[in-house]
Amino acid sequence: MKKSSITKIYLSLFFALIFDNIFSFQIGSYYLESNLVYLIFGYWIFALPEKLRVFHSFTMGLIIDLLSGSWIGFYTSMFVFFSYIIHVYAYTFRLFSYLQLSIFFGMTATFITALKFLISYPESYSYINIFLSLIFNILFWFPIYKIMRFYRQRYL
Amino acid sequence: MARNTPTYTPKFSYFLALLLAILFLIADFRFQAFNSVRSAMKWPLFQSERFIIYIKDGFFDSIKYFQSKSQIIEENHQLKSKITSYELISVLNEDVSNVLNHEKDILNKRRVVSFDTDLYFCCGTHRLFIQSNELIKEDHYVVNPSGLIGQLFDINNSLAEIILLSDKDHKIPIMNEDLGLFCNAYGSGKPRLIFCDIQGMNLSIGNLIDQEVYSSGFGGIFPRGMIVGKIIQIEDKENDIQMLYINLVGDPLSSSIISMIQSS
Repeated sequence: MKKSSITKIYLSLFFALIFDNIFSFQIGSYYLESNLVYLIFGYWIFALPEKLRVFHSFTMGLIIDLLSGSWIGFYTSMFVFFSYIIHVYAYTFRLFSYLQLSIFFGMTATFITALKFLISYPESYSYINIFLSLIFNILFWFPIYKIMRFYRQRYL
Repeated sequence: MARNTPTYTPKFSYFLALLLAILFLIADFRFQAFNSVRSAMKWPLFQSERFIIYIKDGFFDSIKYFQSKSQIIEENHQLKSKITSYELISVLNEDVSNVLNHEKDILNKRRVVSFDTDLYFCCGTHRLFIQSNELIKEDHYVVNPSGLIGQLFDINNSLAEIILLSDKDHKIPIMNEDLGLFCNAYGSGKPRLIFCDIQGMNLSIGNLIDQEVYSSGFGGIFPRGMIVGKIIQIEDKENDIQMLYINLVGDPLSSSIISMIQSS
């Protein structure tokens, strides 16, 4: 894979993190927590399983940890773990409908959000927050999938 | 780009990577091993966020400009700035003419560049960030048009971190001279609420509710006599200790403009 393509993938994650922060700032008072970074990471692993393996999953996670201010190793371990799951079931995912993919990626994104709250802010952990995030992530997967697919086909 | 079919997923390398990531996590979570790295790395993200917000604001401002309202908008901005200045002056309880003559030096107005409202509403860490400069030093306290909100906590690169009064790690010496009340209030971790433990005073609720409390000036940062908040509740605890719940007058959400004041 070309270096420029790798750079574009990393840049997409960087911008996702920025938008995550700006977005969370806007919607925070509605008890919503977005996880665009994971959704976009999930898309790349799903779309390019042969190109993005353990090294890139690890590096992406580490960069997100460093930039987002979360505990170092949190996103790294999550990205490596879910990258493995996506790789193992890569054939199965190809048969999935958009709805099934949305549910899978929405649920895994919400799992990461819930775990982040449990580790970093246990006093603020609430089921309503997690449930709303699940709905949000499921709804957002499809537009993210379409946008990132267009980006991949056009620029990579 | 065509998608290839995955062939082989090496379990061992994933296991090793996962193990290494978990070791990082334990080292950071348990021993705060990467604290300095983390705070240093936040800076480029803040700058990028600011850049995007700047572009977004610039775009909308230019649309307004082409709608021939630029003068009105400019005038509006100036009036808002003046109103903010007057509100800040009233908070500081300073001589108006003196402040207006030295507005830039005394008010030292700053725009908030980052304030994590998620953390503010949910958790105990209540911090906001502003662009730093050489005028900002460690003994500054912070007000906004609603009142006293916090103090400077740290300066990292070009960002200054403000710790709010309601932050769990913050303490402020407060007083009410009429009641003979002096104590060190500490942040509750909840928006606009601080607690204060007093012993042996046996105060009744009727005497205290809605009483104002002021900074006593004994911490060396906040000036004496500045209003901090109002007592809203008293809770009796063991060993003759009473816990006062104080609702802060300063609301960090009320304005994105703050003023950095140097302790005199």
